[in-house]
Amino acid sequence: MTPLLFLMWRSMLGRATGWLRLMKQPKYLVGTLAGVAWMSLFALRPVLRANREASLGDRVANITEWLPALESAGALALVVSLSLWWLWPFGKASLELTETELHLLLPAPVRRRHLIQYAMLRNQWGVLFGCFMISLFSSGGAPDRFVWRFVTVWLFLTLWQLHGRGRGLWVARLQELPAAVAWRRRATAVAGVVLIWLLLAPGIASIAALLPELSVDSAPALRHALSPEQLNAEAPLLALLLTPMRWVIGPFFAGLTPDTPLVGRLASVGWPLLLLVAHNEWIVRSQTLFEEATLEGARQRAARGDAASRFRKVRQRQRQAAPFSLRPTGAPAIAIVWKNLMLVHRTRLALAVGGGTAVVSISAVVVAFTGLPDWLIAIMMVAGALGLIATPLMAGHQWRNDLRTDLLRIEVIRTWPIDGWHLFAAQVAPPAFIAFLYAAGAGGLLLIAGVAAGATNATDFVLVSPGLAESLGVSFVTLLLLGLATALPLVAAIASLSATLQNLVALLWPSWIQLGQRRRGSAAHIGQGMLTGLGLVLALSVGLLPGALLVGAWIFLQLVVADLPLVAWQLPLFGLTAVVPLVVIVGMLTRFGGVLWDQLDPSVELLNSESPS
Amino acid sequence: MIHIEKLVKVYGGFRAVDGLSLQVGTGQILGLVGPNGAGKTTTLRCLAGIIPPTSGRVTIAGFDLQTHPLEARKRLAFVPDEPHLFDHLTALDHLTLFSRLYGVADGPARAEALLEEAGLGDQRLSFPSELSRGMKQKLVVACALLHRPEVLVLDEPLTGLDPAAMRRMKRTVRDTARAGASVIVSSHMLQLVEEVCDRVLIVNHGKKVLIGTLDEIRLQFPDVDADADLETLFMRATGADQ
Repeated sequence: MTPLLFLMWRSMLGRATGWLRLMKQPKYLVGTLAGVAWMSLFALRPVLRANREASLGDRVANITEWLPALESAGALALVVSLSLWWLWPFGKASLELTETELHLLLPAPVRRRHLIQYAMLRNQWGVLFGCFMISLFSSGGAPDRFVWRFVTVWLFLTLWQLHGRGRGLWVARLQELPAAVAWRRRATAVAGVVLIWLLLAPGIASIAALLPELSVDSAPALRHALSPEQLNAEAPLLALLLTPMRWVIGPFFAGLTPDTPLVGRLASVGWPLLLLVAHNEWIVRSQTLFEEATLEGARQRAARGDAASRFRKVRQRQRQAAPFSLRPTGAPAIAIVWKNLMLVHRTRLALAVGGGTAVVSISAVVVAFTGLPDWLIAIMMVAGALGLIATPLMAGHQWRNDLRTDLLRIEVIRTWPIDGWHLFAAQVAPPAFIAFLYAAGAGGLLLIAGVAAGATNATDFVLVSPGLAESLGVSFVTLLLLGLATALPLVAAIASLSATLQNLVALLWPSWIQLGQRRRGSAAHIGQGMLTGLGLVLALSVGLLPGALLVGAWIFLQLVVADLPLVAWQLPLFGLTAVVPLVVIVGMLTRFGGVLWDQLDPSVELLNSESPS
Repeated sequence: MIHIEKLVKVYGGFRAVDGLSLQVGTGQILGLVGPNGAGKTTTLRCLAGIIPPTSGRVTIAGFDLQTHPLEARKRLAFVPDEPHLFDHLTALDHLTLFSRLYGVADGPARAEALLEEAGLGDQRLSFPSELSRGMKQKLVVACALLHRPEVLVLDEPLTGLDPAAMRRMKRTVRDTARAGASVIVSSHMLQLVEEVCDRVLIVNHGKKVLIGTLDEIRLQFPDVDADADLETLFMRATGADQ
């Protein structure tokens, strides 16, 4: 096991060293400190509250009353889920090892049980991170509570994980055994589950009969029905069967009871620890042939992150299509736009825009006469509004048809004869444009729903009330059209700002964002994603502020200073006014992005600077 | 024409390239060889404008890469050691893209011709994931040659190629030079360098150890055979034989 532990230790050290090396750069250091400060503040928030004692005291009192009942319910849920789990006939023999690890470790003189143990330990990073986050955010800043929460959550999650792994290996082993032996083992397992259910059922039925109708006043009766005393009295067999499960979740509940002595708490972890050791032995002694399944699993995991796999399914005819035809001469930046639009789809833009407009127009005319059911109008309104608002804000976060993909081909794109700001603008344009198209589609949906609502007077569901149209002196449909005319330029500008910011992040902190489609699941990456996401939201809010202030000032001057009423036809002008500062900001940021691109030294983070050859 | 003057590239405290100077004339092929970590790839990346040098000057066809990057890049083609292609573009799409990027007026016709020449005519609508490594390498070279570069830089161009493709690649390199381009080929395959290159530059620890024709290099080692091959000379020059 020692070489494998060494491998784990060195991998961890390598990651930590890489992380610390990044900290040498102020941009990463400041980001990390901000993130840590934010998380600390969140964790310590209850401590900093002035009325902490009172609120915490109240909460503890409420929780303590419920603990025995909750523990019974938890134990019952555990028995039910575990028994059903064992009825599930499928299981995987694969361990979570990478292809590299398999190729290096399988031929090495490493004992089988050590390799399995290594795979199990390697999986612990995710569990430990999950426990850390749960404990941090639920312990209210109290160190003792944090430690106990961490230990008990870890015990439970690890046991659950080990049980699942052991069951998977056991089921997979059945495939390798002679049919008669496999059938006998499976039948024994099913018989065991059936027996457990036969024993449980009468007890569950008698307790269910005691449960009150759910209402605000039924809480005390519910607590009483699920209390251990009641279970012992009404269903002693059920209480007995639940006892081992109660011991599994017991340590967690012991931490919630403030007056549990330390010795009692420590004693409560004995049973789960024993189970943990037994599960571990069960798994490392497994005779299941995991090698092939593990290799296949590693390949499948790699293929899932391989963006290229989806292009193999593109039909021959579609391969010749493109958003627009690219002439061999002209601005080189257009070639990048062409290329990046195709990362999302190859449909001709003229067809998409023309077809979309035609569909919306025809649908609007049809529903003006026929109307639509109220429920459909409501769904269309919600979907349309969400699409109109969320798509430009996200702007390509899903597609990554910009620098977030192209940085992976840095050795190619850095040699192209195109200056920094044109290249940056060409990278920003495709995600912004596609986001705009999607948002326009959502706007079209809103328009159709609005027209349908106007036709059937289903005005409860529309986002813009007909009363407003009346007060502004225009028809309801005119107001909807004016609303769209106001929103669409804004949507285009917001999408551009969002795409610009996201691409700036890619250039400034390439190590902290997901490049390409391969998901990054480590703890550090989740934290980094959280920080960059927060930063983006903040930057977007700041970027939208000047436009909002400008429109606010206009309305104030018109209504309060000049005492002139607002008219509907002003709406598109408000939209354009809000767009102007956004365009200026996007322009400035694009120039900045260009400078960053020109000055970028990809050897620092994007190319392997560790082993220059 | 390639002109590199006192090129230095420092990573943290490590000098990957340490004051390297060289010149490759029109129609010449220079072989760049050195042990792992000698600074070959870093030199080529600086030369291709991928990474900025810490100091020094790189001139491509008379244009300084720092002060006139666009003019220099228009005349340059770089083939990296890994065939980096765009997953979502077909082979033909790649050439269409490069036509526009480099403003090749006869791009479509030349693209078809290069695809046929590379033996990729039937794969023109294939995505990179459907191509073998050798095919990808051929496509990368086709993209590089599309705009008739005055300077061609190749990093390990034969990796992953079958014998027939190797022969074709060697011929392409020679033809490109014969057409008037300056070519730099970096490779660990010393026979290739010996066969294709007019001159050889041996680097070690980021510094120039020796440069010249094979005969000129042999003269530096009076104790080796008169017909000693590049491998023997390389071992002596880098001290790898000790």
